[in-house]
Amino acid sequence: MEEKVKISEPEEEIILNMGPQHPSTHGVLRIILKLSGEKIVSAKPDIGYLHRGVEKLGETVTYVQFLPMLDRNDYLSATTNELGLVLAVEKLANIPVPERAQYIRVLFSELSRLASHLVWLGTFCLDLGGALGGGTSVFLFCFREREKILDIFEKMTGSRMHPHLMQYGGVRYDVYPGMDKDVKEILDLMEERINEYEEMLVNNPVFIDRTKGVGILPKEVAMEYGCSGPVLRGSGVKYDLRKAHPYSSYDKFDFEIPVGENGDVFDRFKVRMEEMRQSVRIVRQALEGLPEGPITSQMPVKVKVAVRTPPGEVYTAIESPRGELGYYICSDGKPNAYRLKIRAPSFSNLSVLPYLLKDHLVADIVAILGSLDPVFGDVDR
Amino acid sequence: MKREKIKEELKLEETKDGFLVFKSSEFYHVMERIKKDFPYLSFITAVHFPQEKAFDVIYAFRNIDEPEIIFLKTKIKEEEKLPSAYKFYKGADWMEREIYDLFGIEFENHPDLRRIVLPEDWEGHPLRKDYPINKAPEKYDYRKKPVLRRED
Amino acid sequence: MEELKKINLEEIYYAPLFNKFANYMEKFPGGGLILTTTKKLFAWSRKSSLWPVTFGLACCAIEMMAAYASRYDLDRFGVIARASPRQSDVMIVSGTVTAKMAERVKRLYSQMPNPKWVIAMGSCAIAGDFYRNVYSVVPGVERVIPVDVYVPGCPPTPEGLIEGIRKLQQKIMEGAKK
Repeated sequence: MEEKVKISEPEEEIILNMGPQHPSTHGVLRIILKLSGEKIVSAKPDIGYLHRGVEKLGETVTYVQFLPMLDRNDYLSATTNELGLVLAVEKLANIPVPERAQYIRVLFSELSRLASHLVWLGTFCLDLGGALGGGTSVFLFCFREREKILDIFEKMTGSRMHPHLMQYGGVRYDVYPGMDKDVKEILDLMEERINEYEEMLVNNPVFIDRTKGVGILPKEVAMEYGCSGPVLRGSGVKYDLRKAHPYSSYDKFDFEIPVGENGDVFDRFKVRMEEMRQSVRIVRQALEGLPEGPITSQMPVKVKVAVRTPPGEVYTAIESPRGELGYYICSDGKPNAYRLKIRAPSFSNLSVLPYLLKDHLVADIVAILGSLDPVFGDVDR
Repeated sequence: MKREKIKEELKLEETKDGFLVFKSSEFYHVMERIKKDFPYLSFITAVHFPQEKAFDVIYAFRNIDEPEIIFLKTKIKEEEKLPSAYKFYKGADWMEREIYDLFGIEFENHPDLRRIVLPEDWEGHPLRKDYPINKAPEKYDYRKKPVLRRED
Repeated sequence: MEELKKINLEEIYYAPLFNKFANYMEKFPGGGLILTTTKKLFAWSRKSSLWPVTFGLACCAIEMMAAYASRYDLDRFGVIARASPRQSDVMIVSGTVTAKMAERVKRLYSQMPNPKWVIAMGSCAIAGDFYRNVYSVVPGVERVIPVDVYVPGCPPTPEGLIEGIRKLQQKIMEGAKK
């Protein structure tokens, strides 16, 4: 009984400009689309609408001053941003980190991964359209849970989104009394809710139609473009920097790396949902195994030139919610970097967009773009 | 370790921080060899040295199956051009455009070399060391424009 | 003089009109009559349904979304996001405005119908925050479009944004008194 609607080939191509103000482009992205009817012939993304010169700024201010600025870079998961730079400077200057601080870092990185994926899920479903594709209700649900995670950040550091938790040689704040109870409450809630959301979406035929078989990214292409994180894992590559090059005592935790099969939008959705479950597992382990001891090996930072690095070059990468977030530092012995490059995961993930959009319909753009989860503070820097 | 193997095979020098230095004239030869063992392009970046009038261009590749990372480095003069890695890694497209935009290094055989983050009619390349942080072309310099107030 | 005060002016001028309307109004269930000026009436209805254009720039946009969502629920104030600038009357500039984006912000603002208001949300939109000296950043959106309410913070909490919207409502009502 299946009937396929025939779309007649139009004679001429039209050019459609999407963005930078568009209700479902996850930030300020402009895509110049060449269309043949509803079909996309070619797509040219135009980025840079949020280019704030963070790399140039990193050369002019000291390491100590630069750390809070990094919070604003990938604003959905501020803690992982800080962690990357802190690890790079520690590696270059040989600063030891106490084990308790490493556990606190892991704990809050995973909490911010949870918060970040919640925002992704909410906006992704909102973009897929109204009540049909998952809808406004998922958006509202996700933000309800996210508020609870942000409450912990606020109680701990005083700020909801930009906590400035890390410090060279440790963390700035110790856990507050009664935090384990608060966190456990959220973890119990999350475990239940993740299943609920997944059940709600996977059993929704409209959601399946709009995500399955859409935006297929083969393994080889993903690797050539330098995609990382859930985008790479959705294509079936089992690669996670937390396992491949463990940092900050991630090797002591027991968790799995979820992978997709086909590399379509649905697989990337599945991978992220599973990642949230793994994050819950890691947070639980970090809470239980939190060792006693000091939280920092350095004195509390009072002057802005407190941290100096010897001349040299270093690159460290961490697994942020979006993928490989790396910092390359070229130092000449001053308290500020000579050159600071941020290897942004969203930048590489987004560069695959022209490849993915080709031969899709206009309506699939938001689904594909949402599945890549770009954050424009991170893309443009 | 595949990194050691490549280092011996191509006779590359190593800096004290573990970056392998190659000559820009041997670019295609080196890339072809790297691609066999390191199929994942992590990033490309550059560092400007105004005294020497030179750039360091840095490439990082990853091996996914056996977790390993390799850093390559090449030195070029300011007016020199560098071949594009697009032929080997598609991801080099945007990364090289970013370097062209912010450093002004031109890449030969790049499919679409134009500015990526800054407007097309921007002057200068901001990440060069001789570019002051608050400099902008007249059209885009909002620091000098007046503050608008609502007329009541 | 005391006799003059006793005479209610409103009764003299409005009484016949008042009675006529009152007769009609009482026929409706819950009917009543309020006397006001049209200026105040318009201002009151404008402030109670402020529709901002969906337009996020950076970190503050996430806090703006949080303000729309479950816990804070901006719908209570009649604030409902519209996707098109042609249907909206408030622009919440949430985040850093860059030189590349400034032209677009100006164009979006000019597409909004009058009367229109602008809320600058967060330090970046107010004065550029620590990006103010960077080559590509506009130090404050007030150099591109005129701003009515400034909401400080980096980013402001949803409560902060709600306070900003209430300040804007106050401003609209005060404008009607002149």
